[in-house]
Amino acid sequence: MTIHRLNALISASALVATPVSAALTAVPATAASTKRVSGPTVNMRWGGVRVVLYISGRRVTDVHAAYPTERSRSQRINSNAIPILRTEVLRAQSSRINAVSGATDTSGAYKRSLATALRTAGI
Amino acid sequence: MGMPVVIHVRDEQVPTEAVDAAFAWLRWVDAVFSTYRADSEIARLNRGELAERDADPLVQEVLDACRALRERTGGAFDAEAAARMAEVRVRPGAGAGRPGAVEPAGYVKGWAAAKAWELLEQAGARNALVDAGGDLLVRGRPAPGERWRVGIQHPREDGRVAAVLELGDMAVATSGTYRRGRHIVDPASGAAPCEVVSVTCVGRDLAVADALATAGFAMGRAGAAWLAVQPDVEAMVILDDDTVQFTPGFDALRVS
Repeated sequence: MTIHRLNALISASALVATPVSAALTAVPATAASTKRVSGPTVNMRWGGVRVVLYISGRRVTDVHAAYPTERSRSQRINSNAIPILRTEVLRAQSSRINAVSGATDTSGAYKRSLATALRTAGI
Repeated sequence: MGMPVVIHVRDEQVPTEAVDAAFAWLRWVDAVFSTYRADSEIARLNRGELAERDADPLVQEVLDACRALRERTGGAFDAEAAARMAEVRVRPGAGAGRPGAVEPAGYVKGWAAAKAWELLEQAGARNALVDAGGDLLVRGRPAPGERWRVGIQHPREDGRVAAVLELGDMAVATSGTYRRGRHIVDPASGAAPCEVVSVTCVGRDLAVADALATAGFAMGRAGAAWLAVQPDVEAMVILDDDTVQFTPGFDALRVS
């Protein structure tokens, strides 16, 4: 058994810490061969982000992220971060590495964790 | 501490409950040590409401380790200086600049991840990866006959790595300035080092690797030479002129 878990360890001033213990769970999608995978909500310092991956076979075909818009700061930071996230996740699948070490920052740490979870889950 | 944690266990016989226990431990650490919380023990220490000798023994263990690292790094790793940083002191538990207030997160993250691994090991895990926001440890193998491969984030290009390491039982920690702006200061000058963009340390102990990467980064140009003589880590330093410096031991771990 391979255990793969994304967990958020967050306690930001505007958020109640919500540990996310669910692994990425597959959700049947409308298209026959494409499945949608909903990621956990990951609380970042300026709000939560929920990621939905679209998978066809073993290939990630698209990535969508929902993010809070209620506070201007959230919107500014997250709208900047999310287009990069799309690129990162789509590139990660071709990589033969298990994880990436990098300096801790909100979007970077989150993206790396998602990429690590995907890599090791064999997606 | 504001970071996602990923735990992968590759052993068939390890119960899921062991992973739950590891995450429960991490949540406890967050509740006790976070400066983002007004009710953590660190927050109460920082407000002067709790004496260190009355704090949880693990809080005392961490603060002792932080003081030892301050000595060892000549002050480049300093939990008190971290608490005074502009972006830290506004947090509800950071003590608002009160003398003696501490932000030990630079040590706690690696320390907590290493102890999470110990819990997994006690439950029978031998092959695993624990990734705490980009500072990580690997044990055993990802699969029979394979080695763990860990990329080092390219400091300016998303989705690219500056190096790839093949590792056995090792820990990797990186400090840098990319994306979020400079967030580490030299306690002596109060200024952000401007020439080093990324410092990575590899060693057996994740907490030490993490603290030494932070210290090496804060030292600026002097960091590489200092790291090169530390006995318990191998290091890679990336400068803003695209120069990359390795210790020989780090170079030996590289596969690209």
